[in-house]
Amino acid sequence: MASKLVVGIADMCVSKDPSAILITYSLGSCIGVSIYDPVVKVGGLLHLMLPESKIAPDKAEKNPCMFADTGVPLLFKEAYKYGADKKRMIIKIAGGGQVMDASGFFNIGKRNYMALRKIFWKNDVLISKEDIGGNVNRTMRLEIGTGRVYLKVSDSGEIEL
Amino acid sequence: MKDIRTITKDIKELPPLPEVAQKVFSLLHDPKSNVQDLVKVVQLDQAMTANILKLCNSAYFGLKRKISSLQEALVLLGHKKLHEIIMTDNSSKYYKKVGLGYNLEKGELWKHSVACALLSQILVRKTGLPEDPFLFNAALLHDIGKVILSTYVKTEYDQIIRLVKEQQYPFLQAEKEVIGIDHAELGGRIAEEWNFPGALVEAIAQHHTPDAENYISCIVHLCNLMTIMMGIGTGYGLADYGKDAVMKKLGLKERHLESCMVELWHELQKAEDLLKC
Repeated sequence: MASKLVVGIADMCVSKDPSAILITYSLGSCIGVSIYDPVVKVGGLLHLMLPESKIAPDKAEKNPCMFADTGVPLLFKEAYKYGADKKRMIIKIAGGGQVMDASGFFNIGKRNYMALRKIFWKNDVLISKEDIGGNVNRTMRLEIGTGRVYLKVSDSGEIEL
Repeated sequence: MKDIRTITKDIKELPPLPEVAQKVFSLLHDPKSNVQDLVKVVQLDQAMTANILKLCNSAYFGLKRKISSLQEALVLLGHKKLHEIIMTDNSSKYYKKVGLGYNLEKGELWKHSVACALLSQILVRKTGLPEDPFLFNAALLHDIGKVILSTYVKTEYDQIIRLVKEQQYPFLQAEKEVIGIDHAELGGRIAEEWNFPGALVEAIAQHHTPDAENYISCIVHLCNLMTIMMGIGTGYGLADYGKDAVMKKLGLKERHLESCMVELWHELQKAEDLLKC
C-alpha cells in the first residue's frame, strides 16, 4: 500500500521507498521542488518559502528548508545519501504564484523562481518541467516508485507535470 | 444575485459573541478599567476559565511554571496577552465549521485567522509601527463574514470561479457580483451587530480595500495577503489585490514582509494549542 508523506511549509522529504508518495499542499508564492534519480529510484520534495537566507541567517540555520539558497543544496545532499547522482537528477518545480497587480512589493513568488533558476544555473543543473506563476495555488505530488509528478492547480483536476 | 436582505438576516441567526467576551472587549478599551476587572468577569465562566488556563500553559507561551489561576496568568502574561487569549478562545467556534464554500479544508479558515492575528503582532513588533488595541481582534475576525457567506458561495461557486478564471476578477469582486455582497462588507455588518467600535468595524469591512487613513485596515490587509501567499487559507488561490499604497503609507519594504513571514512560521510551530482551541 502506498504511504503518503506530507511535506509542510518550509519542509522537505527524501525517500527511496517505492511505495512512498511525497505530497505538498497549498503552494501559493512558495515553490515545490521535486528531484528524482530514475536509476536508483530516489526522490525528494522541498516546499520552500522565500528566496534568500540572508534575510534571517539564524532562522536558516535552524531550518534551511525555508529558503531556496539553503533548502535546495540540502535536498540534493539528502538524495546523495541514498545513492542519487546529480547528473541523472530530473527536476520539476511548481508554485511561485502572485497576488494580482503586484508591482514590486508582493513579488515573492517571482523572486523565489529567480533564486531557484540562479541556483540551478550555477550548479549546471537543468529544470526539466515547471508550472510557475499566475494567481493560483497548487498541490504537488511525487511518486517515488515511478518518478512521476502530479499537480493539482486551484479548482482544476490533477495533471501530470 | 441573491436578496441581500435574506443574507443580512442571517446575521441575527449567528450565535452572539458570548457576554463574557463582550464585557472583556469593552474593558480593554475602557481607560478607566482596572486590570483586575478582567479576571473578575472571566472567572464567572468556569468552562472558559479552564480553557484559557490550558492555553496559557501551552507551548506557545513557553512559561517556566504552570499557571493555575487567572490572577497568575494576568501577572505572568499581562493584560494584553490575556485579552488576546480570551478573544481567540471565543472566536474559534465561528470559523471551525466554514470550509466548503471557500474550497478550504475544515479548520483552515481558523488557522488563517489565527495566523493573521499572530502576524499582525509580529509586524508591529518587528517594524516599530504603533500598537493598536483593536489590531489583534481585527486580524482575528477579518474573515467573520465568510461564516455566513460560505453557504451562498458554495451554491454559486462555479459562477464565481468562472469570473475569477475567465475575466481575471479578484475573488472579492466576483463574490460581490454574483451574490450581491462580499464577505468583507458582510463581516463589517456582523461587527456592527456585535457593537464593536467603529474603527474595528471599518477594518473588517475594508481588509481587502484598505483606506490609507485607517491604520488597522492597512495592517490587516497586509497580514491577510501574506498568509495567503504562504498558503495558509489559500482555498481559491491568490486572486486578490495587493495594495502598494499601503506599503508606502506604512513605510514598509518587501524585506519587512519576508522577515515577518519567517517569524510567523516559527510562531505557528509553537501555536498548536491555539489552533486547536
